[in-house]
Amino acid sequence: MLRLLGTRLAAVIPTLLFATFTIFGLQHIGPADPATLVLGENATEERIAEVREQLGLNDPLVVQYGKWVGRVATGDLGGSIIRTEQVSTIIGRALPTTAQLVLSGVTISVLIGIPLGILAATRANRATDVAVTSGSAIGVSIPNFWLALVLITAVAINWGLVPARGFATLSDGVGEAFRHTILPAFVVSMSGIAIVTRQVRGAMIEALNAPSVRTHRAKGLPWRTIVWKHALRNSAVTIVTVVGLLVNTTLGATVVVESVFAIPGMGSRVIGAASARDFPVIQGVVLTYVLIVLAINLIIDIAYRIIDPRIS
Amino acid sequence: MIGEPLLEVRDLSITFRTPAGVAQAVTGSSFTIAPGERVGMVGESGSGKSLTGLSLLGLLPPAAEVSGEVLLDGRNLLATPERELRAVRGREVSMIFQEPMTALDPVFTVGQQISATFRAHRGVGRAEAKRRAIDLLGEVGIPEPARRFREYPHQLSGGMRQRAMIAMALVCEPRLLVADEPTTALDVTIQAQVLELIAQLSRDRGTAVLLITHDLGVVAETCDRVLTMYAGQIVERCSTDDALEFPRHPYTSGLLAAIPRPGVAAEDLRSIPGRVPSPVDLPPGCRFGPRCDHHQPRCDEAQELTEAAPGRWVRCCRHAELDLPGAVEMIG
Repeated sequence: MLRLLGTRLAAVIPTLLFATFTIFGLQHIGPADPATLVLGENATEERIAEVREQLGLNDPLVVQYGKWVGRVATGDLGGSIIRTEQVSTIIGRALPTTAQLVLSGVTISVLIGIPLGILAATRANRATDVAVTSGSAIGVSIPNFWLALVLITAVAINWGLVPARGFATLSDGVGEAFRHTILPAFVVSMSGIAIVTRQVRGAMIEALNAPSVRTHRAKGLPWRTIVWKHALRNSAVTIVTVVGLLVNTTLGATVVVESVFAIPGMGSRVIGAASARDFPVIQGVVLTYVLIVLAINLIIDIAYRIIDPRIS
Repeated sequence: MIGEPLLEVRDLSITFRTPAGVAQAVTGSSFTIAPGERVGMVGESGSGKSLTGLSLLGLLPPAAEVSGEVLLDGRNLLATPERELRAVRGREVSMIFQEPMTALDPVFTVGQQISATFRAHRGVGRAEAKRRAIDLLGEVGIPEPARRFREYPHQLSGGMRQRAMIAMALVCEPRLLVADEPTTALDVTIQAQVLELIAQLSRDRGTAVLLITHDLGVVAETCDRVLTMYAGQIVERCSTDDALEFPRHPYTSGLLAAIPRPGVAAEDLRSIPGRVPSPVDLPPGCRFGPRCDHHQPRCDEAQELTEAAPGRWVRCCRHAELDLPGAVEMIG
């Protein structure tokens, strides 16, 4: 297991290098000088020179990249150009918010998607299955921002059940956190429910058609046990893959949804930073996203080997 | 045969509706199995052997339309609700399958799968089920049973896997074991060992066996009686010795000629010309007629299974006049 972890970590390095190169290149692929982009066209020469110095734009590109990677590697993401704060401080504040939203969303997707998928699989091609499958097709097609606006109007404003904007993390108290999280979490979970349902349905249909199911029936095991223990366990590799990838896509969904709900998470920060051309913040947030995705993939990879005894 | 049969199948028919018409998978099958008796069921693939086997556990696919009776101790399993069938499966009647690699669950250990059967029927604790499973793994000839108990199916060899399947099927001491092509996926040397194991366990425990196979040679080594199936019908039902020495149905004789044996080169083995008829388009008369060397006009009428001699049933109107070669003449 340790050796596996070693080789997998080593395999991450090229991806990470490529990602850092792209992230670093972000500020150079635009049409204009980064300093001008940051300050706007009316900035004074002195101010531009100052920012160029601050961003290290006077060095050759390779040197800039090397310095940047060197700093980032030690955890120094630089300072925000707009706010007088370190990027790592901003991320440190936004990350728990986004993490809470993502984990809540994924949990909802899993808790609803897995039973729905199993229900559809055990009634494959019958009315229940058709209803669930069509429902999931609708679920995956509903745009996040639209669903967010509808729910804010209905649930938060008209019915006044939960706050329409802002956020509270667990440190603000469980009740408060729940009230603020439930609506946006449901919105980001919507397409996840659909994806989990479909994938679980497919995997379970395959598992229930396996010859080993006939053996379990011939042994006299109850159908309930066959479905919920044996077929589900045989579908576990698919489920872990889907859930892992779901963390990644839900993370992406938070960017828009956080903006709609005015939640001060990573997504709002990166959008704010993008409109203000605050490159260090953009780079820091995107780099954090990359690290999270790589970590999730690593966890999936290792989870396979624990779940399926045939993979070694 | 002495005493009441353990199993009595009466006029069993299994059909499926298909877009091409009604497929007759099994037609009017009747046979009995006595307690402790070993009966072979031979025939080509598609002859309805496996479906007959599955019907003995009430495991036919939902699309199958069934008529007739499958009586276990006089109780019709075809009319038994699923809930009660669960108590029969694995405890009264067990089944082992052709390919133990796929028939066993790949993500549970061999031990878990054997104990699960025992616990489901006996309601015993984990520890007792484990002891029982390890004992049985030893009895079916698996070395180091305590270690194998913890292993997954893919960690065992093909022969070991089939032995584990057998252990799983016998853990509750069923009275009937249905073995569907149990040796087909195995190496020849292992085949003989597994057959011997099944025969020995059957003798030691008094377990009746229905051995389903396409290979009359397998039946010859293991079974007391043989049922020859062709295109969904039983065409001959008799003792194994009779079938081997004096087959009365041309199809049984044809199967004997196709068994590889010492001193006969593979190219000299006779195969039966032609193909099994489609189950949606069966000949109205003798279903074997179109492939039979002895075919006459009167064979085109429906053939009944008739008693040719005590205990010998044949579905052929010419059985009395034909002198068909058995295995003995072929070797001689």
